[in-house]
Amino acid sequence: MNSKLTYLFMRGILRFIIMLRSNFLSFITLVTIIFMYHIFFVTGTGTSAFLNHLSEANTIRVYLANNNDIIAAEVLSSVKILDNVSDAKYFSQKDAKAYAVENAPKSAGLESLSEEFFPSFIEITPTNKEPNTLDKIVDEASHLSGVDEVSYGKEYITKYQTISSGAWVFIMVITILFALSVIFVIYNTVKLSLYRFKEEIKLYSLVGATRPFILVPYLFGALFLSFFAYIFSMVIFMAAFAPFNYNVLIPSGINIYNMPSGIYFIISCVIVCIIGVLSSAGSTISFLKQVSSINED
Amino acid sequence: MVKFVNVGVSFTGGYQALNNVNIEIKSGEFVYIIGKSGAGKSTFLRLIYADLLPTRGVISVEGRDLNLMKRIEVPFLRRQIGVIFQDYKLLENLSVFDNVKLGLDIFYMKRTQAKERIWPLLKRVGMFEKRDDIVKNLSGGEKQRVAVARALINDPKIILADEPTGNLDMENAENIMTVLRECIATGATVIMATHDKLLREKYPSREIELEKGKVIKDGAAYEL
Repeated sequence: MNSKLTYLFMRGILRFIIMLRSNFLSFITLVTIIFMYHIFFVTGTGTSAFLNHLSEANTIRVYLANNNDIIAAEVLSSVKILDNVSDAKYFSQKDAKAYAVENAPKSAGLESLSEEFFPSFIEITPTNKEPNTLDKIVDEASHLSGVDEVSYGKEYITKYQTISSGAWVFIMVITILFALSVIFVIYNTVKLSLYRFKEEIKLYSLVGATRPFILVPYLFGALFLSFFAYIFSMVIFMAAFAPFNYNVLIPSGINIYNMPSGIYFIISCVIVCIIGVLSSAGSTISFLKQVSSINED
Repeated sequence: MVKFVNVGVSFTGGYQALNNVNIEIKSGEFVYIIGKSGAGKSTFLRLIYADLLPTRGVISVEGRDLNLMKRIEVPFLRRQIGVIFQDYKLLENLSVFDNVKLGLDIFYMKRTQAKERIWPLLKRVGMFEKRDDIVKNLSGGEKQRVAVARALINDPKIILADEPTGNLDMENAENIMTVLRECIATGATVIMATHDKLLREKYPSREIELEKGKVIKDGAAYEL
């Protein structure tokens, strides 16, 4: 059994070399498709992760009806005893300006603005970030005396989450399209190779070759084709991504894309190889059904 | 060995290649299938190596009913049959050795092991000296001897030859006939489609004559 498999494996290597030599363009096409997929995947997941980060509501703000420190202290003590409130902190107008300047250091002229433009507020840290919990705190806090408005930016969070979900739908659609492209390229590459060996296959069939004898070398051939196309695309991607990210994107303020993990590369490589083998099986079986007898042209 | 019972083959359009054929060929026989072009000789041979299934009737080869045979079993039937064609059906860009080796590849045989089987056979058909030559550089007679070697490499029980001498001069045709007749001595059955009258006269044997798909004569040459 082992010697049979070794024999078919060696024939598979030969088929791969011949496919590569006679149809190098298909190999390049495969490398390009997989390379493009890496780019779309990184862009999609990076954008989604960034939007998810933006949509995390860490705090709830309670804006006061007037900037009176005594009323603020009363509201603060009332807020602290609300359910699901972990902590609450009062920011006077002075503190609010300092907070804004600290969080937006590059905003020109912010420091020169008067404190009057910065309303005082109480920042609530909830015990958890569940939307229901946040909504309940907002509802209870907004009924307190001296409170003008309570918000955690729900409308923005909803928008970000919608865009983030859209990014995942985009990744899914792209995955299907790229998988179909890989199937198409490998199916046709194998089919071309089969036609190249049409007479040989007919002769093998005549002398009593079983279907696995003809099929298995093409499965190995497609496996090598997929695997090496993947490795090439991964190397090119790694070589291109890191310099582009560190020299172009990050200096431009876009620091949201990261190199995918090893798990991503392993899983996607296995999937590409499986797609390759299945495409090859489909191509070979359909060829064997169509191929005419040795006695017919 | 080979038995046809009421066998008929119809092709698309209603053309009847064979009609109500009843034949029995025993082990070790040398049988000529004769008749004009289109008489059904090639169809007769194709039925035996399961390249074609009959529209009607029953064919049994080596005790197996081909109608009941599963697709997966066909390769194992073909391993017992050697087929020779008028146009050789060789891979022109391969060597003589590699063409013959095709029949051993299916047994996952290594090159060194294959040599032990192929070299004596090439000596037998007179092609040993040219074993490394590329087939496209050979003459017609040499190509046919390679085709014969490929057909014989697995010691088949049945040898089917479809006009094997059709493209050859008399000397080469006689060489092929000599090899085929030697196979009878080893117990193989040879079924040869031909319309070469000279050869049949020189090597008389049972003759089955087909005309428009029907058997019109069946008997030893001297009886016809």
